[in-house]
Parts: sequence; C-alpha cells; structure tokens
Amino acid sequence: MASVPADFADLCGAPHFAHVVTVNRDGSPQSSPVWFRPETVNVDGSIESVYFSTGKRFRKSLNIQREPRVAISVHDESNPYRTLEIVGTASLSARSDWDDVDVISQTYIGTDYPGKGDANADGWGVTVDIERIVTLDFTPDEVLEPPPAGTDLLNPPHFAHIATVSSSGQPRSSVVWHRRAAGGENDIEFWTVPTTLKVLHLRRNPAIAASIHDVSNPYRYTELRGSASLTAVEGHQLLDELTPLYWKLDKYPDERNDGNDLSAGVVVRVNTRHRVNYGE
Amino acid sequence: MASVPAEHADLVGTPNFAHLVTVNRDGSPQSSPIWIRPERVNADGDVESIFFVTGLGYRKTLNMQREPRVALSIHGADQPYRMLEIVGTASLAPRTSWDELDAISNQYLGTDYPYKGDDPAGWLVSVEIERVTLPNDGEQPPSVDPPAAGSDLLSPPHFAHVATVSSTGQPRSSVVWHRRPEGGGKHDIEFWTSDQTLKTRHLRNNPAVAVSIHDQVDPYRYTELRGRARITEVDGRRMADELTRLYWKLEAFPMDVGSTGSVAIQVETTHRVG
Repeated sequence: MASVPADFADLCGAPHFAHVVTVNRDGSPQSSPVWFRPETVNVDGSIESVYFSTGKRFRKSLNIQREPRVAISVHDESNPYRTLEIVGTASLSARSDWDDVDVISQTYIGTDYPGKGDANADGWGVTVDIERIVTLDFTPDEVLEPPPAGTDLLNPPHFAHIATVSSSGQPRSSVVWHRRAAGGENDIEFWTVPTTLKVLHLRRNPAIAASIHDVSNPYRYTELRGSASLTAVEGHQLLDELTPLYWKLDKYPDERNDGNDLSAGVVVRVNTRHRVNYGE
Repeated sequence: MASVPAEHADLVGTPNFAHLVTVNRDGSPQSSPIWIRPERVNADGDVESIFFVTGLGYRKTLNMQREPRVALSIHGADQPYRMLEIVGTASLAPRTSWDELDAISNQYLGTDYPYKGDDPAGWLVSVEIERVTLPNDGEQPPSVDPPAAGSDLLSPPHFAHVATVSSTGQPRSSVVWHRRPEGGGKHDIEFWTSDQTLKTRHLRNNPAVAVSIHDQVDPYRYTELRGRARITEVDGRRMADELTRLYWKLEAFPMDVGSTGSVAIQVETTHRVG
C-alpha cells in the first residue's frame, strides 16, 4: 500500500481532473478524464484511496469488472508541471441514486450534477486503493499561455465578413479569405483587387470590422474592430498562399478572376483594437 | 429597389448565417452574425425584403435607430463560395409576441425558439433590399476539409495523459508534452521521452496506447485517442528544444538532455473521439 502525501493531497479532487486508465479486453489501455474526490484520508492528511462515479454500461466499469488494476494521472490546473501518478486497484459498489454524483459535482461546479436528463440513476461508485504513486513538482519560470478562445477562427479555412463604410456613410459587407497577420495577437490580413469597393471605402475611412463564424459550427464566432492598413503589392502571392488552405489546389487558378486583373493587388491588414468571442 | 433573385433565394431561406453591418456613432462599422428570414417574396420567387429580431439594448439596434442604412453578407453553409451581398434600409417595429422569432427559429433549428424569456420585448427589423451583389458565382474547386472538433488539442500548449499497459497487464498513466508529427496521420501526436521510462518499456512490449487531453482553458472540452505507438530513436536535445519553444518562453530546454538515450513516440491514432 502507498498513499498520496499531504502536500499532493490537493490534487485528489476538484478542480483537477483524474485521467483514469483501464484495460480493454484486448489488453490495450483506455484513458478518459473524470471528476473525483479523496475517500480514505489519514490524520496526517495523506490519502489512501480516491473515489469517482461512473455509469453502469460505461467501458471503464466493464473493464474494471474484468481487470481491477487501474492507473490515474492528474496535473494541477494552475501548474501543469505539478503532477501525480497513481497505480491502484479499483473496487465497484453499486449506486442507485445521484447523491454521490451531486456531492462531487458541487465541488467542481458548485451545483448538483446538471447532466442527469432522463438517465437511470443506477451506476457504480469506484474506489481506487492506492498502491504506488509518482509525483513531480516543478515550477517553470515562464510558460506560454494557451491562445484565447476563438483565435483559431483568425486562420483558414473560415471566412471573414468584412465591414466597411463609404464616404457617404453607406455600410457594405463582403466575404474574404484571411489568415492571422504576423505581429499582432488578433490581426488578420487578406488580399483583394485594388478596385473593390472595400478598398475605395478604406482609403477614405480606415475603420473596419470583421465577423467570422466557424465553418463547422456557426454558433461559435468572433468579432473584430479596428483600423485597416493597405499595402499595394505586385501579383497575388498571399492569395496563392491561402489557396491550398481553402481549396484542394496548390495555387490560385488565375483564370478565376471575375474579369479582374490579378497582376496587382492590395493586402489589407486589420489592426484589431478589440476582439470579442462568442459560443463554444 | 432590388431583390435576391429566386435562384439565390435559398441563401436567405435556409440556415445560413447572415453577417449584418451597422454604423457606429463614430462612423465605424460593426459586424455580427444573425439569423434572418425572407419577408416579402414576389410572384417570381425573388426576395424583396428580409427580417430579423433583436433585443432592446443591443448596439446594432441603437445604431439602426440612428442610421437605417445597413449591409449584409451571406455565404452558403454547404457551399461557402455561393455568396450574397445585400445593401438595404432597416425599419424597426416593437416586438410584442414570439411569433416572428419562432418563424426564424424554425428556419434554423427546425423548432420554435427554445430560449424564450418572460417578455418578448425587443425589435422586429425589416430590411428593404436596395442592391444585391453575387460575387464568385459559379462552380468552385473542392474545398479542404474543415478541422474536426477538438483537433486543436493535438497541438501545444495542452498536456497529454498517455496510458500504457505493462507485460503483466498493469496500466500506467503519465503526462507529456506533445505535438502533431510532420507527415503523420490526421489525428496522430508525438512526444519525447527517455528510452528508459516505464512507458517506453511498456510500449516496446505492447504498443497499444491511449491518450486523453483536456483543454488547458476549458477542461470540459477534451479528446481521447486510441492507437499504436511507433518508437524512433531521436536527437533528444533537438526535440526537447523544439518542444520547449512551444510550451515555454525559452529557446532551449533548461535541463541536461544528452543527444542519445531519447525516443520520439508517435501515437498512430486509429480512433479519436472529439
């Protein structure tokens, strides 16, 4: 037997997630994140067993009935370089109500479990007796922050709806291919022909807005506001570079020109002052 | 006056999101995606006006009350290169029932609006169509596949929990840095480790591997992989430095790593759940 020492005991429960490994019938592992809590706690604060809840017919519970040896790994949500690995033996106890699930749910999200729906309350409580542990505690100096939600929409293959306003105050909207522009967290750039309405608008009024929805899930979208800077360019290199990210082609097919001359263009950069993200 | 010709009316009559532009007080534009529905359709099937609903205090509402000139652009959800640009004039009327929103909701969700509050107060906005542009009409080359949900989790800066099973059947789990391998399968990841770690020894014996990765920002978004591990001897110094630059604000891994004794383990994913 082993136990999780008191100085790592905080990793055995909310807000951290246990990645629980069970063994499939063919000997391969299965891993998934679950909510959990400490079960047996010694007077010195060390932990001898942890507990989680699962459904009756979940693969995890079927696996445990055949092979009770399991493993768990946890990383600290506020410092992923502080980790805990547990090797242990699982035992199942039948549950027929949601009480345990609600208790754990309270510790993670502050409310009873919201996912009950019409599901049957029958399930398993799983106790894991801890047999071996490995801990790592390391605080790096400077960690790269994960990109803010919606950053992916600033790159292909999504479509930016570009809003401009004419000198007489008439707004217009049009759709472009875009990508993130180097050097600005939320800046995007696109190529267009010099005679488009949006270029004419932006030369007089550089105020620009863009909205971009996820091509796979339109309820997830982001909106940008800022000012445009325009750079006249020879040819359409940016368009060629974007083409394979939108179409299954290596470069832009020059014959698709809507009657426009593609030998010169304008790269429009949206210098974003403000970005808002919506949806999940 | 103008109208959306009948052969393009589906772009405003099916669940495509329209991006509405209004003008802010300072003359700058504001753009946001909305639900719309055809309002007046002539005998030929051309759409002469569209409508949508909005709330009381929204910026676009305040903008339209001051400046009724608006613009909309739409691209087809299934054929993104079928596009439509509309210029028009908005008129606002107070909304007293849920009927209009239910009609719009049925176009998008196939049901009445499911998120009704107590009070339908808001605005019903009609846009008289004054100009229509149909850019890029015609046949388009095949599009690339959009990224599958959760595929961003296969790249830094998230942390992969890697599960292996020993020769005696004992499972283990540990946390690693990972990235997508060059030239790998669509859902493959690779990570760097010593050739003496438990997981390397397990995988040499039993290449079955499973991985679960949760989003650093939103742990309720996660992905699970199953597959087989392919182990390659690598220059550990180089791979450690490359991964360091993806996870830390450092140019090189700050600990002692020899150029020998390291392996890259590629998870050749046979199954991924989003």
